[in-house]
Amino acid sequence: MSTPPAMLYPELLAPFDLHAITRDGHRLDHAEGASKPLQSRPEPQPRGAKVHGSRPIDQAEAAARFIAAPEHEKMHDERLWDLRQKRDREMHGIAEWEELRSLASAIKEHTLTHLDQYLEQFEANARSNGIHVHWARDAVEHNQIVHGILKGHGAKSLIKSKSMLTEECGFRPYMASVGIEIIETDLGERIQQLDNEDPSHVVVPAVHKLRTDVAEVFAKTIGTDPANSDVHYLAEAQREATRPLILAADAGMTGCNFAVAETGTFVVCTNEGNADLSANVPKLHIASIGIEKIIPRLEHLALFVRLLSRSALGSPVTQYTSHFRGPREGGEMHIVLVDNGRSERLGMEEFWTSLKCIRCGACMNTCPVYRRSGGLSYGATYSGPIGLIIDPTFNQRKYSNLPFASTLNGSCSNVCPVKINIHEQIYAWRRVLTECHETPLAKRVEMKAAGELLSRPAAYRTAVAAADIALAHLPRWVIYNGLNAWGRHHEVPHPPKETFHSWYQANRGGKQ
Amino acid sequence: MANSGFNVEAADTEALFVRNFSGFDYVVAPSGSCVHHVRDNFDAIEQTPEVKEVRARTYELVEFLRDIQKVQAFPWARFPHRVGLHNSCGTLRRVKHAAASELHEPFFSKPMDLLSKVEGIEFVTPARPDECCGFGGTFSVFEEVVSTKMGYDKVSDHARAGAEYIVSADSSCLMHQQGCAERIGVPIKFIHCSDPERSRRMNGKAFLLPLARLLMSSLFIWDGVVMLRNPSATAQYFASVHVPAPNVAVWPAIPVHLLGGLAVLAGFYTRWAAALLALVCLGTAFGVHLPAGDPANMINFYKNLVMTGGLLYVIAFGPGGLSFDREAT
Repeated sequence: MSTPPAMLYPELLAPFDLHAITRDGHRLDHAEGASKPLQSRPEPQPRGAKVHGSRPIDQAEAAARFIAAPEHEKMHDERLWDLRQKRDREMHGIAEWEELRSLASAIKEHTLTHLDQYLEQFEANARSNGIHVHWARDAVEHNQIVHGILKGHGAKSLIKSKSMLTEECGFRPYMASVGIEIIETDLGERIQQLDNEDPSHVVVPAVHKLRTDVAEVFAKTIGTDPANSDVHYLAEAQREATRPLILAADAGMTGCNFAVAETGTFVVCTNEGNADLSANVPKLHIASIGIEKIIPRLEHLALFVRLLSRSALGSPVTQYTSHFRGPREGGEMHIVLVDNGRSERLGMEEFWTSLKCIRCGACMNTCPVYRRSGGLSYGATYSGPIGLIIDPTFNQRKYSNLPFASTLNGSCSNVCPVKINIHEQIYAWRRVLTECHETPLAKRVEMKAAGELLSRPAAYRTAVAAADIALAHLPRWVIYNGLNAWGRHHEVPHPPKETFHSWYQANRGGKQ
Repeated sequence: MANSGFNVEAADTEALFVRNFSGFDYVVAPSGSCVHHVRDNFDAIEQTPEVKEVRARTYELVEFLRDIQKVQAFPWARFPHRVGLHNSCGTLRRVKHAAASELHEPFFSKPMDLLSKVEGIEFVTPARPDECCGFGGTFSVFEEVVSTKMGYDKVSDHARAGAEYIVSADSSCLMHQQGCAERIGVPIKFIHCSDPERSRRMNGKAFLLPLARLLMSSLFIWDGVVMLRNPSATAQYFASVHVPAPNVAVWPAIPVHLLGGLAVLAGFYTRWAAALLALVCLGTAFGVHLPAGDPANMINFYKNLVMTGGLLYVIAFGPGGLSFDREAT
């Protein structure tokens, strides 16, 4: 391999790859092996956004605390940037990449436009495969339906693979309240469960943690050595601790990446094979599926499978791409199709295409704000760019600040495999929230004043002249006062010797 | 304002823009993000034909020079420095200045095309060539911790790649990055991408104007010295050619000639000095030489007109290089 690309924090690069796997003297460098080896120093983990009921989440405050933990921030930033670069490498290996994106977007838009037909087709085919199909209007109904199924089988423990939908439904707390034990089998999700923390990223739930943080969590919960933060040791310890729970579980639950209407099958992609364990070890398999996961035909699946892992992790395909068509002999398979606001979002002219999302996380990996804030700073199930545009549909007030946690740079829209115009929807949400007065009073006052000033040339020129004089002559302690938000972390701009306008008047005459 | 969602508040400002710029063939702006907003988002106001015209005719400077003017060279320009090119996000992805790294498309870069025509320029490659610098409009104030962290990272990245200057087609990004660089002590200079194109080459032509000023000022300086050394003889000469109040007139005449000449020589308030001396030439031509009328005086009459013509060039085009006025800007 050629020299690795330049890094923002070259000091994070491990001098030799501590965890490389070699075969015949060669380092394996496909999939995760192609990731940059990074090292960090121990540091207390910054926690996520402070949540107070439905009060607007202060993402900026949580982001500031993440940035104030430099080991975490740098590692998070470099690790996710590495995923973005791996994605780019995969992209360059496929000449028709942009065409694939356009096709995927078109298929999703078509499906969503005819969602009712495809859902009914899916249900009919799934039923004829022997799968029980349930419909849940919202999160509560989902939890109740699943609880009903488990109670019906006398199940007291449930193993599950990662599902953002179940996070959205608040599944674990609900199950805890009715006395059913849930065991997450995805390593990252399990870490988060043991730490009583939400997942921070849709694909790599514990990416915000350093290995020393994980060592601390495992030491408290599964009895590992707190001083040992070796990755293989910790992963093996988790496997040893969880395997007996998997083997003894009464029921298994998975999410779903794609549900094929034509055949009534659903597909789950994992790198750990934990969905397969969850689905195949216990006799009862329950799958929670968001209604937007439908695709029309099996032939469409190939397109999405080509795009998913490349976009998410920069690997050509996940280790396991499992198709579930029906229960095995002596087993039972249930699907819960969940709406939870999706059909309402389908009716929003500016925002319905957010339903195309295949939960790859590429937008999070590329977002410079996300990488520096950490997913937990958003205080919502969905963070990063996709979170900014769907969270306000779950709770407009609580998530009213999120669309402002963006520079509108547009990188997210460019990496989205299904071409969601994320940054344009962020822009549109800002307008909506401003019109609904979900913005802080101070900002509204300032924007109104700006509007008045910038539309009046004489006032504007006076203000600029005054500001230039002030900047040129006032002492530092006056300029950099508590009200000067710009001045907290930047120097103020240099006042020019003359404005363009006065130069123009002097040199090009009064010609207007 | 529009970027923050305050579209209604932006309406009057957008209307003012249209009023100011309607009727022109091209509206060119040295700021890609502004051009993107005008072309793509200017909808707080009613879309009259006039508004649509202005929106369609608005160009960013690099785009205009390369695509419309089709500039092939900057023969006068020289900028022997290592430059980090910053394409602001709006300019990159919306005005389409260059290929975005997320997309599978052949590489192209309009600013690089133009700037590589400047002699001596060398581009450095940062680790993250098109990551956002964090300005984001009001984001830089309302989310200033993340914004400035992005800015620190951006300038440090360019510094590590060896940039002496960061150039961009977007002044707002430059302002933000400069503020960040100065706060953390990164010694990079920030200039608009048009600056290297304007930088002057030190060749023969650069000396023409200072030489011209030397030649033009010589007479006045010499005259001034002569008058200073013998004011009474000067007064007598004035009297002989019917200059009113000759004994008094000597005193302003000396500094006007001497200091006016020195000012033109040094390029100090050159246009004012040239104007003053032009008046003196005309005054002398019509007041002294023409009335006298004899051949020697007529030569002087026309000579004074020629000198006035030269001084008018100075008023029109300025002092040129090696002058106080030019160096002070």
